[in-house]
Amino acid sequence: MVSEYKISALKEPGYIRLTLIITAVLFLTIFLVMPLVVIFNEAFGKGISNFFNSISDPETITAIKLTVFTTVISILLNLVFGLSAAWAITKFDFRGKNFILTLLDLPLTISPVISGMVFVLLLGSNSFLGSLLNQFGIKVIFAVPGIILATTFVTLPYIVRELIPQMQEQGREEEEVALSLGANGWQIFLKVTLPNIKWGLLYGLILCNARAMGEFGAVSVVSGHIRGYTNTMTLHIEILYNEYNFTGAFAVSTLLTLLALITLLLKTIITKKF
Amino acid sequence: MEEAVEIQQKIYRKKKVLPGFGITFGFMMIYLSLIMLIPLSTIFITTAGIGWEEFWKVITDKRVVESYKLSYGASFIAAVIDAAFGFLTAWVLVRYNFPGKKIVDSMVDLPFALPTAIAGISLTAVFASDGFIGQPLSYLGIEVIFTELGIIIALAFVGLPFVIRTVQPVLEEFDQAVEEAAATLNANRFQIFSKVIFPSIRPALITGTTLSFARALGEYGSIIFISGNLPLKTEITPVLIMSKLEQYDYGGATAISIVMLLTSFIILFSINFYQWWSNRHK
Amino acid sequence: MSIKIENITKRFGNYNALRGINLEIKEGELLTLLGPSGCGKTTLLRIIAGLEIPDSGKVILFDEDMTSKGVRDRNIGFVFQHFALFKNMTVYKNIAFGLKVKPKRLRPSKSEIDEIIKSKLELVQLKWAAKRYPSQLSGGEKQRVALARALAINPKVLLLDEPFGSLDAKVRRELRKWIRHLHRGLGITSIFVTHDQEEALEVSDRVAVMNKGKIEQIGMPIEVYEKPVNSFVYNFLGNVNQFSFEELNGTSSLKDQDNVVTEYVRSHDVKIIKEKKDENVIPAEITRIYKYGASVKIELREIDSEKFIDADISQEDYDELKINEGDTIFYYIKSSKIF
Repeated sequence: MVSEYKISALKEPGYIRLTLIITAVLFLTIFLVMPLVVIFNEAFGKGISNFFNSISDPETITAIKLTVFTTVISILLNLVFGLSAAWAITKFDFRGKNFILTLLDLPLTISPVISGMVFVLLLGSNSFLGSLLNQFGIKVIFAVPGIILATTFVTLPYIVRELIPQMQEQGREEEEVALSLGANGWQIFLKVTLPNIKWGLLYGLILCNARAMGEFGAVSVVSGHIRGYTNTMTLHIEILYNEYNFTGAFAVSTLLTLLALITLLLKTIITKKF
Repeated sequence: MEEAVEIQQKIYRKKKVLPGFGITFGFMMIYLSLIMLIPLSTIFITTAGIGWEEFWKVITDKRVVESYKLSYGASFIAAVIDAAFGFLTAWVLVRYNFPGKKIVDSMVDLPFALPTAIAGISLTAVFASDGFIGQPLSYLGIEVIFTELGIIIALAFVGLPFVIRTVQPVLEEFDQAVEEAAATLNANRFQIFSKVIFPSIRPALITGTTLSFARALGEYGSIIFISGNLPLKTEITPVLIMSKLEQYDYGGATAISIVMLLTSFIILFSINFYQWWSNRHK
Repeated sequence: MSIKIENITKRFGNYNALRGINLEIKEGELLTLLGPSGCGKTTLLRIIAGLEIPDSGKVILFDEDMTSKGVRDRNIGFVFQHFALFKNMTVYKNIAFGLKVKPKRLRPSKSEIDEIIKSKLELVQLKWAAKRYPSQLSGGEKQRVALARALAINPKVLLLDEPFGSLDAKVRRELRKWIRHLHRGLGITSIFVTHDQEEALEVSDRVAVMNKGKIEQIGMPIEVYEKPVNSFVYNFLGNVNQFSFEELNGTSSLKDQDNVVTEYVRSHDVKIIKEKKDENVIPAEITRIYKYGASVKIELREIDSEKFIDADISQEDYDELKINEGDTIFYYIKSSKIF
């Protein structure tokens, strides 16, 4: 009798467990599943042909192209940065590491509107640098370069924050051995380090990609909303919505939503590989 | 002899064992300066440019203060909601088994992966007076769209994963042997939960909730659709900053931003400090 | 002299890891750095390798001052305690690594590389494992691969940092014998680091006993065991009992600050007899008996002082004595040392 009593202290009674599970699932359904249902419902609500018309609209196509272009560049920039910074931070000892680590988290805590704003202040036509560049015919703000910069800023932490804990855990021994066997820096990095971090790197790239394509606030500030020229997909969705073209807005949304779902799927698969 | 040793020491201190320090550290610092530090400094420079009096006038303006109250207030409430349901979800995912658990676990990250604008328009559609949830609610007299409630809901949406993903690993690592020890000492289930399990999860819960709060504070994309952006009523601070920018009132925009930035810094450092402090006994 | 260490010092922040190390290692010998955790032995090894930079002093390898040169230029082979095998490469590729990364003009041809690898695999008796990955091998096998990998580049010095530290006791003992044979066959100058005194005594040509950043004694295994120069060395090598007594008349020059003289006795120098043979034997109660291997450990408690003493006796002596826990016996000290 005594032992039965003690074991019951290790688990909640069945009815409580059931209640908690149902509450949690219900909450998540309302919060997470319903929005997804609504997106697809509205997108296809007026028929499949309407859906395809919205997707293949020339302005939509331009927006897609622009989004992909700026995302690829941002990812590449942050990839090189991420690998470089992770190497510097995990393979060496130096002062001020904690400060740099805090800096790396900064873009995650700043409002996207502010993130976009700083580039307008720095490189907009009213600024010193901006007017200087204008004289050479280079426009950054309200043009594509501005979008790239804002997106890069906002997604900066994603790759490096994935790499650092993984590389920290793996330590420096394999690199030191490689060094003792005569390998130079590039050989060590390419043959020893890179293969060991491939899953963390992939994970970071996937997150960075989803975030970059979905960025809205910062690009909103920086782009000037010039249709057919500086509109990314998310900005295009906003415009369609504000024009009451709900089918169009949700239709384009399905593309990014599918991307989000694929991202979640890949995330789950890769996490198993760790 | 002393000199020779000193010189030797200077050379040695500069050398690193593994190659590539110069180039990787240098590149990292240059990149951070160009992409982050220099752009961020413009906020302070611009604000400094408008002078202290003007700065004070801007941030105490009624519309601005109302937006601060709304942003901070709604974010706080959203964070608390996230804390409660986030903890519940983490507990259920770690401790129980049920069909479809893996799918639920993956779905938790949806607010991370879904673009905020899409979250905004879809939440609006769900809670509009003709939406799936909005309809029953409006029979009860509860309006979500264009009210503070809508803002809170949207903020809770974007912040939810932060709590769950911070609490989950800590809960998973929790040593069940400690629970068993408490049971042998004749504690009942509720006591074990409140005196043994919860206290050790609390730091993670606080960290996750703080992150959720910080995230909510700066949120823009999901709010602008659901709130209607009515000045003095449902206008959050980022929207106000945006409208100042559109009017080319850069000084005003940066002044308002600095308050938010300072909050971000304080939150970041507090989290780091809190984590250091709560781990000091480990 | 193939390796000369001159006046090496090293601090980590406030911690003084090495306080002026001077050491000469003969060509072809296997020298062990032996000492407790924190004595600086691994730091010293890493400094010789070039994986750590000393604050002052010199490292001279085969008459060349290598102090300011990096790891790559020193032509050393390093074996880590936790193997540090490249987990994404097969055993074959691991061993080939050092050869494949050589600059083009120094790199041997594909067939030469293949031959070298095959011969190293043969040397460590792992030919069958060539295509396996490190995760598929046992601890002992992994360490042998690490050794083969280090030897493939034909280093002039072999450095081993507690190579058997993460292996099971049985595997450890097997590998000890094996590495002794290997070293005899290869004749390569080697430095071995361990905290296990049994290991050091079994494997080495010479042993350097270290403590708190200094070398206490260097010599052949039998020298440091039988002729220790101070109490630390004596205590560290072998199980030791300590007896303290006060010098009443104050003339002894061996006292420490509290006027106490300490006498050190190895547990196998404590002899047990059943009957009182003369006035020099001391009565004690047997509190524990453990049998392990070829000897028997007896824990005694002196009747008068309640002091605990460890004695080691052989299996034959134990059988003859027919003693049990709880018995009262007499003990005397066969030999001891006072420093």
